[in-house]
Amino acid sequence: MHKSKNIISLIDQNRAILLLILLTCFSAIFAPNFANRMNLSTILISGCMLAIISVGFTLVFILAQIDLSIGATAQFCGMLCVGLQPELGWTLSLIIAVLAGALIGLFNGIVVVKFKIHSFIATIGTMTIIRGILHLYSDGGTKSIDNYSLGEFLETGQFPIWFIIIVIGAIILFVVLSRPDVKTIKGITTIVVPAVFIILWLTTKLFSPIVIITFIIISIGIFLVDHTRFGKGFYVVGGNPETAWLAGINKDMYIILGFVICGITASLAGSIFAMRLSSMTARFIFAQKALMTSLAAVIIGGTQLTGGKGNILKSYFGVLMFQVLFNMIGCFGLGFEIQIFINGLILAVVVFYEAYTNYRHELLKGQRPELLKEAQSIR
Amino acid sequence: MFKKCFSVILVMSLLVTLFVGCGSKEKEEKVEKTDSDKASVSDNTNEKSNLDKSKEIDVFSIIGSDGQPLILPTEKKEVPDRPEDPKALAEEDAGHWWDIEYAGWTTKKENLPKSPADGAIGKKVVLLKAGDHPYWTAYVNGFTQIAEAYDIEVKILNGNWNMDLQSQQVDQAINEKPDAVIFAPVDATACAPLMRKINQAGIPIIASNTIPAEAAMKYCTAWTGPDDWGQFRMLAKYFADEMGKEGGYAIVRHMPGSSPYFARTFAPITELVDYAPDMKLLAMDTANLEAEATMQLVSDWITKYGDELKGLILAGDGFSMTGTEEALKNAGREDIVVVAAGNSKTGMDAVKNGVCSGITYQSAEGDGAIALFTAVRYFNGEEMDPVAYLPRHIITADDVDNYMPAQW
Repeated sequence: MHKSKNIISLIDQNRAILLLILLTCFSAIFAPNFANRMNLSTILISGCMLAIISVGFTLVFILAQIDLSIGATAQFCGMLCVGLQPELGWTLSLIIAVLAGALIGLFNGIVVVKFKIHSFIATIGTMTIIRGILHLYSDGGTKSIDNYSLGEFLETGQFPIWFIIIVIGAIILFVVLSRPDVKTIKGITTIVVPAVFIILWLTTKLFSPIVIITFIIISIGIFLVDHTRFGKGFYVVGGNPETAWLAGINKDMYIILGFVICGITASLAGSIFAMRLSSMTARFIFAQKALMTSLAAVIIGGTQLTGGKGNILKSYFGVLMFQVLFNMIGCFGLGFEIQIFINGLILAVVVFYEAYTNYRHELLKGQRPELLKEAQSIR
Repeated sequence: MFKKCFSVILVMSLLVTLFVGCGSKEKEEKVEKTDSDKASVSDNTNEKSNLDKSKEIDVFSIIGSDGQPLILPTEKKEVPDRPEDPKALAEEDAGHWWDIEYAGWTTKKENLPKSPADGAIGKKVVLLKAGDHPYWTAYVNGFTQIAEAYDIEVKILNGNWNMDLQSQQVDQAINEKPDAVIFAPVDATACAPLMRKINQAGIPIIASNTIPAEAAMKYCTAWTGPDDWGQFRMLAKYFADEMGKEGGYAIVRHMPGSSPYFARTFAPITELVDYAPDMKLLAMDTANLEAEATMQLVSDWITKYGDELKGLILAGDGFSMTGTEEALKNAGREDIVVVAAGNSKTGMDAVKNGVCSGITYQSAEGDGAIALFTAVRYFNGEEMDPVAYLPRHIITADDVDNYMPAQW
């Protein structure tokens, strides 16, 4: 019984990657035109925007908050980036867009922390405000430019050799400094995964510049949150605010910072998307879909709505899982309604299982499981 | 120990299935290539007959669900000279919208793939449709009927009104290596880089329904669809006649980003400025074609403008008409003249029962059929205009029965 519980627990903890592997295997065998370099590259590229959004979104969830304005922020900042490009160029327009995202995040954080408004309500309000500003700025239309060179570079280009050397050097340095134990799975993974990635990057065209940029942003997020003392404070603040207060952690600062980072990642995601397509639409369905898919991906990735638990890498696997699903449905030529149904089904199963686990956890709260185990083994 | 084994098995299975998938694809491609090589040798003599067979297929006799022919003769348009700087003109000046209204007519095409001129029978076509809507269900019906007539293999990808999703589907469509792509863009402006991508892959594009912006038009072989601008200029004149060429009016707009968003707003505005200068535009706004939002919008206008509001122009006659009818009934303002873009069942019922004076005729099935038929003409090596419109007509109470039952 304990073994089966362990198996279930293991599957639950790694459900995002397991679902991803399952769907990928299924699609590779049965879906026509799925398993080729171009299609796999399409999946990676199409997941970039949501992947970057999920970095900040996961952080907000870890803080036991929610930010419903991420889709609108991504859309607005993307539109700002492409709208300002003709006058200011890409660099400056990107900086302004990211600053705008940071400001939106700061606004959200202050409203939640200082005015004590629940983040769900506060960010719905922000979302509506941004939607209005977006329509005012774009006049309901689309902002676009005729220059597609950056978009082409992001999708099919190649970084200069010095950049490649720096990135590979950073990866090797990270692996060496983390001193992996080759007798453990984690240790082997720490060596094998980067090695495979470097080989694939150098020998195939699987990883376009936009995918590499996404990996870099995700890596920075993972490093900050999981490998720094400051980053671990997010888990403490979200998981047990009282303990955080007792430990002298400034809870308000962490929450505001979480929203700011979320705003920054959303604005980056929208801007990079707008750069890739040299345009951004004012249709709000774009923001809605970005929000809903990111939400589903983060939850499937194992991040809890109650806070204190989450993993940026697993959120990324959740994003990839949805991209594989969308792609697979396209390969089969199935209708969009099938996609929505499967989307909803996966999310429902995961959410119900989460609810059941929380219910079991509440039942056992205050009890001492090690004594229970001992008592059961005696019986 | 268990965890180690489990992880290793999972990773191995992923790698194996990926290689299996890639390997089988390569084998399939090799087999197909060999077969097609053989076929091309033996079919050289039959090539002409395939083209002849394709030309002999008669699709003009196919009737749509509304009793009208599926393929109707496409209508040409007189294109005036382009103003020097259209954007410098006022929005009420027709010249301001020249680039959008006459998009495609004078565009210099770029890198268009040459027609193989080997007939349409057995070709593979990918349809990138904009989203789900009853209109699009009828569109696909018409599209499929033509596909069946020519034995064309069709794959349909639904963009669900999402630019992000459609951009992914463009990559998928290219990956399918079709003989042509029929592209109904979600966003008329943002589709330019997407169409460029397909064009660079050497795949001919027939743009459909929404008119792409000028920057996108140069990549497509042709565009087919409703002449929104022309239709709404006709409708505006009819509307003005119904209103006695005086009074205030308001416009319920289409969804932002689509070509009808501008066409179904500024075509009547610019037309009425000349045709009925005593008519006054009171308000215009979008309700995203939603019934509830339209009802709220129209009710607000009735409250605000009172008797000054004498007419309404709707960018759609489906949910927009439902919302408008509700608002007019609640306010007791059945005197307001209503015209709309048609032609759904709701719109035609509204014309029949007198709520609506007139709607434009736009065959959804014909829209789908003409798009694929244009691809057929391309495969047959025929010369064609860069733009092909569906016929224009205003349906009124006098002839609404001729268009029943509604396609959607």
